[in-house]
Formats: sequence, C-alpha cells, structure tokens
Amino acid sequence: MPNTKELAHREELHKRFTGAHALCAGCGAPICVRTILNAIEEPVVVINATGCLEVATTRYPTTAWNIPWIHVAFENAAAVASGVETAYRVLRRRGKISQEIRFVAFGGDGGTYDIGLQALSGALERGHRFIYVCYDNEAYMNTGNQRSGATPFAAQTSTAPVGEKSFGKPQRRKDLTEIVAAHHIPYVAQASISDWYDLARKARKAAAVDGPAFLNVLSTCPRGWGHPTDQSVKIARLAVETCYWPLYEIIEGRWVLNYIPEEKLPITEWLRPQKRFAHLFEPQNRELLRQIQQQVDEEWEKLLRKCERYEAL
Amino acid sequence: MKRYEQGEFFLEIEPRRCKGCGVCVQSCPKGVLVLNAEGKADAKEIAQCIFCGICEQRCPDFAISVHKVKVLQPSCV
Ligand SMILES: Cc1ncc(C[n+]2csc(CCOP(=O)(O)OP(=O)(O)O)c2C)c(N)n1
Ligand code: SF4
Ligand code: SF4
Ligand code: SF4
Ligand SMILES: [Mg+2]
Repeated sequence: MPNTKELAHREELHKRFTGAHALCAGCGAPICVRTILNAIEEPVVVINATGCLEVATTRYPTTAWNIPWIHVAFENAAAVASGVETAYRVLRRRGKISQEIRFVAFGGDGGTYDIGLQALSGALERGHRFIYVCYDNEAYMNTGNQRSGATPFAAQTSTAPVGEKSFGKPQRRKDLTEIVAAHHIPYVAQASISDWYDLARKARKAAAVDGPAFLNVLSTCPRGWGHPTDQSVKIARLAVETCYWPLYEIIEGRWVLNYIPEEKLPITEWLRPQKRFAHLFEPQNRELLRQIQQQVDEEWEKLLRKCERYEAL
Repeated sequence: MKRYEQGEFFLEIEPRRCKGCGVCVQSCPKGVLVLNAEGKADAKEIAQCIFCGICEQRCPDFAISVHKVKVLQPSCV
C-alpha cells in the first residue's frame, strides 16, 4: 500500500495533465500522456504537434494542461523543442535558471512518421536533450482517419478505402523506431498503452539520458480502428501478444527485447476485433491474411536477431 | 460521487467524469472494477482492493481516485 508521502507526490504529478478534455472514451493518447508525465520526476515543458491530443485538450478558453505547454504547428514539434531546449541550455549556462527541466514533445503518427519527420531527424541529429513521444494511432485521426506512413498494410482508412479494386492501404507501414535508431541517439524504445509499467519505466529512462530520447507508443483510437470504446487496453495488448507491436528498447545502440509472449498469438487475434480490418475476413481476402502473418513473422524474427538481450521490465 | 471504504483507505468514483472506457477495469490487478449498467466504473469487489492506485494513475478522465483517511492528531500544545 502506498504511504502518505507517496500519495502526496503522486498528487503533484497528477496535476500536470487533467480531465475534462474532449478526447474520446478509449482514446490511447491521454493514457500515454498520463503514464509518461506521472513517471518523470523533474519539472516538464510539453511541446505538442497538431493532432487529436492537441486539439481536444486545448479548447479555447480551457486547457487540460497545468504545466508549460507549447503548440506551434503540425510539422515542427521537434524543431520547437530544439529551440526551447537550446534557450534553456543558454540560460542555465548564464546562471539564470538553476532547475533541471525536461522537455517532452508529443506528436501523432501523422505529425511524426510523415510531416514532422524532417524536423525530428534534424533535432535528433543535433543531439538536443529532449524526449520525443509519438502516440501512434496509425492514421490522421483528427481530420477523419486518413492513411499515414504508420497505417498498417491492408487497413481501411478514408483515403485507403475497401472496394472492388482496393483492399485498404496497399503499402506496408514504415518502421519509424528503426529510422530513429539510425540516428545513433542514446535511447529509443517501443511501447504500448497496454503495458503501463513498461511505458513508465521507459519514460523514466528517457528522462535520464543526456541527449535525445524517442518513444514510439502504440495508442488506440476506437473511432478510427472501429473497436468498442471499453476494450482499448485489451486491443493494444493483443498487438503485443501477436508480436505485431513488440516491446523493445535500443540503449546506446544495443537492442534489448522487453517482452516475449509465452504463446505468440496468430495475427488474426489482433485484426478481428477492429472494423478497419473486417474485409480481411472475407473469403476472397484469405491471401492478404496470409501475407500479413508472414510480414509479422519476418519482422519478429528480424527483431530477435537484432536483440542482444532480453530484459523484461 | 461514489465512495467505497476499506480500513484507512477509500476509493472514489465520480460518474459524471467517467466516460466508461474500461481502462481502469482492464488495468486493475485485483479485478475490483466493472462497468455497470450505465456503462460507468463501479467497485464491485472492494474487499479485493489493495489501493495500489493503478486505476487512478491510468484513468484518462480523472474519474477514479484512491485516498487515505486523514486521522486528525490531538494537538500537543
Ligand atoms: C500543415 C498542416 N496540414 C494539415 C493540417 C490539418 N491537420 C490537423 S490534425 C491532422 C491530423 C493529425 O494526425 P496525427 O498526427 O496522426 O494525430 P492524430 O490526430 O491521429 O492524433 C491534420 C491533417 C494542419 N493542421 N497543418
Ligand atoms: S478520434 Fe481517435 S485519436 Fe482522436 S480523440 Fe478520438 S479516439 Fe482519440
Ligand atoms: S478509466 Fe476512468 S473514465 Fe475510464 S471507465 Fe475507469 S473511471 Fe471511467
Ligand atoms: S486501487 Fe488498485 S486494486 Fe484498487 S481498484 Fe484501483 S487498480 Fe484495482
Ligand atoms: Mg494519428
């Protein structure tokens, strides 16, 4: 049981992000934000890219944020974070700020995999000390579920429809975690809103490294994915149990696996509860299902070969 | 506001804040919570609660919280 002191401290971290926002029931974004902000002990400044999280937490004249929070545009959260972090570093050197402060940027997959990738790459390569968190709900949800570079193969979106001549998105998703790792930054991790303890530990590790850190967090969207609003944690968990979304980290270039399912579930377990994949269960699409399973198996095998260690959190 | 007491701890649920997302239900390690007929969180098995605070930490809408009863000490002045 927690003691009174722990409860008081928790209360304080709690106040960073509050309720009464307009994010949907079952949205992964606030779960991701709460878990991360509750895990970082130091004062935090948040930089938010445009997207559901930003729009639904800052409806004028209200805000869900009780800490310094900056939004500039869709594509430049990492550039804004670079600027803020640089100003902070200069002010510290001049003795005008003595506090340790952490800078956390939140961007959706559209804002991170696609339109913000150049800004992110620049910030990572320059080595700014900040944490970039991508809450990846696998499409541009705020504007009505358009496909992004993170949308999985064969998923239906408003711009990758299902019809006589199309079966959803014809391309595979890009592996952003690996792209980020190629920047040789000190800490990169993949996490899911379902595994809160793993995510919290990763946030804490990210806050401790002296340089850029990146977290790619699978984040449910009941509206876009088409699953019941009260099943988000279970759905996100299935992504982990099927090895569609493995939990791992790359610490100073060394790959560490954080979870190996006791029994790797077939990919259909993850696909079936989501309407965006409903067409895959029609008899004519059996081949697509086979292809998806093959892609997942290949990527999982590849990951196992890269990982030097297995450390469950 | 609903209040469930057990010893020196209590759990509070504010149904007006609850969106019925089930995050607390699926995160509770002791199976204490359920969604009721109105689709809101309820502590069905409060006797099982260990007041770990996981539900409180996870709820995206700040609808559920864990508290400790404050025992007022007699003043020693
Ligand atoms: C330069 C620019 N282009 C387009 C938009 C419109 N827009 C606002 S939010 C959004 C989608 C964001 O998608 P994502 O980053 O995945 O976040 P999500 O909404 O899914 O959480 C778009 C296209 C914009 N605000 N700025
Ligand atoms: S549309 Fe999706 S991402 Fe946007 S608030 Fe709703 S659940 Fe969250
Ligand atoms: S997590 Fe919060 S909003 Fe969701 S069902 Fe539980 S109390 Fe309600
Ligand atoms: S405090 Fe812990 S045990 Fe009690 S209801 Fe919440 S999550 Fe379950
Ligand atoms: Mg998105």
